[in-house]
Amino acid sequence: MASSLSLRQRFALQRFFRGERYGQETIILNHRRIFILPTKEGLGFLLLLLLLWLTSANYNNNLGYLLTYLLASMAMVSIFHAYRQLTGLQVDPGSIKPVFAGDNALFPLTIKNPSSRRREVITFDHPLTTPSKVTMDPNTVQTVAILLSTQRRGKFKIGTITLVTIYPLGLFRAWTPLNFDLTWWVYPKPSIHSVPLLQSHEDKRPSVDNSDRDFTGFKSYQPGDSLKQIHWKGLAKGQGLHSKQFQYEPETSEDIWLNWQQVPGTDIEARLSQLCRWLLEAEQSGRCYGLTMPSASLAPDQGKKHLHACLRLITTYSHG
Amino acid sequence: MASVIIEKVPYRHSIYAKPGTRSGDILHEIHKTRFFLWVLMGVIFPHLFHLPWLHLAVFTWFWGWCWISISHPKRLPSRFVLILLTLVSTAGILIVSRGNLTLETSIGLLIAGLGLKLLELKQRRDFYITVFLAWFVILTQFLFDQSLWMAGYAILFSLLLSMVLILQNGHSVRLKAALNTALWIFLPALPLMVLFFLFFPRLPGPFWSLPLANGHAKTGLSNFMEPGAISQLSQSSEIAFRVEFHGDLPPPSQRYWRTQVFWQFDGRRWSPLPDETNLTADSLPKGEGKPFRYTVTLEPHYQNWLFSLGLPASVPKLAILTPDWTLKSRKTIDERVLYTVTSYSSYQFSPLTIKERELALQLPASPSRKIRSLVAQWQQKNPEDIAQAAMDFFRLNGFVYTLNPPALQQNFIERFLFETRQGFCEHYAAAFVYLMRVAGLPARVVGGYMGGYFNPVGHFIEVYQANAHAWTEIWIPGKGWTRYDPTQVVAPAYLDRTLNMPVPGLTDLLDLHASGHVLNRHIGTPNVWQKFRYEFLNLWSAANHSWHRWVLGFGVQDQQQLWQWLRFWKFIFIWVGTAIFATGVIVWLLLSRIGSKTDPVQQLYQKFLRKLAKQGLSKTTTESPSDFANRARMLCPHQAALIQKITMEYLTLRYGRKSDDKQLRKLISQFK
Repeated sequence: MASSLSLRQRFALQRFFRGERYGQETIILNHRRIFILPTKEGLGFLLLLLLLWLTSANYNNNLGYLLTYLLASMAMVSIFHAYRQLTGLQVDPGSIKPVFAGDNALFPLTIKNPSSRRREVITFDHPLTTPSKVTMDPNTVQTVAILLSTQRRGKFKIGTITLVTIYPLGLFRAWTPLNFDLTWWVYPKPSIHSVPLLQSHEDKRPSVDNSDRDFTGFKSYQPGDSLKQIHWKGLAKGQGLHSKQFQYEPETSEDIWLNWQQVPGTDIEARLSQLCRWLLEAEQSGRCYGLTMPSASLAPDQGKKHLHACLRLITTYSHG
Repeated sequence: MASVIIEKVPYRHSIYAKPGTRSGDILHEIHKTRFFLWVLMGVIFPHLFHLPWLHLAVFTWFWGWCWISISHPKRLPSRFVLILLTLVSTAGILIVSRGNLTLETSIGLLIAGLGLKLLELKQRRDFYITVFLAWFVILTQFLFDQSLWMAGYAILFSLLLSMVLILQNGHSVRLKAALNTALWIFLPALPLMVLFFLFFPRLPGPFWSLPLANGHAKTGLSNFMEPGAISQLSQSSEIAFRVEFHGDLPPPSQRYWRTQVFWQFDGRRWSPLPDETNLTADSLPKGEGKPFRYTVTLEPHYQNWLFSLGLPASVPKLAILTPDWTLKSRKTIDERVLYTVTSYSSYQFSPLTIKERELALQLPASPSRKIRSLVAQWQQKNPEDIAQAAMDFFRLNGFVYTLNPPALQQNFIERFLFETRQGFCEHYAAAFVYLMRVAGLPARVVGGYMGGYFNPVGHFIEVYQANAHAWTEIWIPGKGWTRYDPTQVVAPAYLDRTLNMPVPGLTDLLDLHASGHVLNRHIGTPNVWQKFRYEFLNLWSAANHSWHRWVLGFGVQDQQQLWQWLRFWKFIFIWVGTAIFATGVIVWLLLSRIGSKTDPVQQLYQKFLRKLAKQGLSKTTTESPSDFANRARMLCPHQAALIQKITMEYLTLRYGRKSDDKQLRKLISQFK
């Protein structure tokens, strides 16, 4: 595999920071993927060496020279140690489930340490996450969950996750950039304030105001559930996040048609949020629903697959 | 199999405990920090012997403060107090050194700075600065002490400091594991260090210089000779210099290390010629007989003297030749120097000039009647007989060699010759030269060292300060300057003593002095312990010499020589180097191949596959073990059941919970 790089590719600056592109395959860290440069402390150490050397030269002190060279050599050997911290690790990217904007997406990376060496403090870094540190014992497998924070809807590439270690002396930083060519979806955030679902027919959906309906029980919380529905008392007691369920009036079995044009409001993101909420409600109602967007339209259907297809369609809505 | 470990807690860099952190966390940190503080204390410790107490007290004060603050972070000084402390401690150190910026002062400031830094270890950066400063402090200790002990101490503490860094960067690393890692950084660094040391270019210093506050205590000979000057030295076990001979050693009776010639006598004190004195000083006398070539490793004595075996026949680069044929260094010997000289067993002198004769016959006043009548008894004889007669006078008239002679103030020579008759080499040399001058023979006193202990391990001669000696040279027409040592006549054991001196035990020697008699040492057979001690001291002394000669003495010139030597042997080195490198690569490849098969189950399965391959059945890489087993069963129907069993066992071991591979091993061995 190493031979597949041309000289130009090999020295492309991008390799050092973004890394080569990877798909779903297992990545074994080796010399081609690991880069090492001094840290700030390492540069400070260089200054120390210079000072030590000058002092030794000034006093023509051979023991001083020996100490200087010993420290320089130890720093050099530590480069090799830093490399050994990362080399041989096997990284297996998992798939990343779609989330609504504002939620944290979870990207699982399965790391295998097939060697009999302990791997000290490897930092997993990504622009969207707070770095997590992992120490791996010999011959173990760990799954590192990388929480990616989301702000905007859209279809994203995971991009570069950098594995960094400065062990043992902290003078050199060995890193390996893993540029995952995997996509993940951030759907629009479901709107909190629900507007009654507009129907193409005159048949009116019941008002969403829960107060005048009968309470039937709890179900576990799903994204899109109204905040008013959340069973806050239960949550406070530590029973987990549940929504209160209310009895809907008997529903017609007619198909629902959701149309971008019919969503009220002017702000595009707010309208998309509203549409998202409607989609979730429609899926929950158990009826078939279709979606019409300016770019495409999906025939009425139901089920998880259909819901995700619809959500993806609204996510890709472009401002132009 | 998979466990999720996410540490969302960012690493704390501040060493001090913070309220509200988990107790386990704090304990761990405290444990690390205490270790760090102990290491720092150890780093500072050797300065106890070189620095004023205040410098160390300042550091210890801050150190203790930091120690307390680890568990009570509220005790930390505020920024204002910190600035105040900086000013006060700086002022204190400067006052103690009376404002002189000496080496001690600057190291004191450095150490105080290190202590202050301990009070603001808040960030990772601060921590690193502290460790770096500590390394610098280790270096400053070499400015005072370059012994083997110190080198070992520095290495130990470098190792401990790197452990501190490892503990900081790792995640709850145990001390033992940190030590292990530190060793694995340290050991491979050693050969690299040697290469750097040998080949990294050097700059000849100094670029700046800070004087030492105390100055160096001058040990060894002094600039003039008077009674008592040398006897102080005979208590000293300090090494003056070491000599390695290229070839044969001179016989013990010739081991006179000549360095000073005293001409002028004022009745009490002998002094050398003033520097500007110009004797005829034609070239060196021509050497005759056996040449001796030797290298002297001279300890710094903060004077200009260099030592040679008798007269030098060559002048090393760093030296100049004085009119009375001793070697003088061009600059003060303030560091260990090496020089190589050749000497001969005898010389051919050109005739004495009038000025020389005048100087060699100088007397402070006209001699007393007693002395004149003594000398008159020998007047008819030839010079050699006169000298011999004087020697006999010392031998036959009850003279005693002692280091504690009665003090003589007035008429020193006369009272020594006729009243006390107790003295040591200075008395005898002075009296002898005086008598010779009265008898009309040109004579002078020579100072230097005599003898030296031959180290059988290192094959070199160690000359101690205690070997300091004074003897005489008198001019014999036809022979030139001839050495006479009247001390030998008085105490024949003196030579024996100087040859076997301090190594086997200085205390024996001191006892001899106390009793005032010179006896043969080693009475009775030494016991095992003494023998062992003797061997050990020899070995230690030899190690020290090699250390001085090859490590501390390695300089720019040696480096150039090494390069020349390497250039000469270039081709051999290239070939040998390539061979070693190639062997290394091959070994590494083999080892890594072996290493990659560490999984025993996988190895067993490979063995099974090899057995099948012999029967013409090989597994493709894309084929799963069970697919392959199905194919193999059809092609080897007679062993179908066994193949199935092996495959099942293998899969259970590989992917199931089972971990005992005995069964698989048995099955595969059954397989033909």
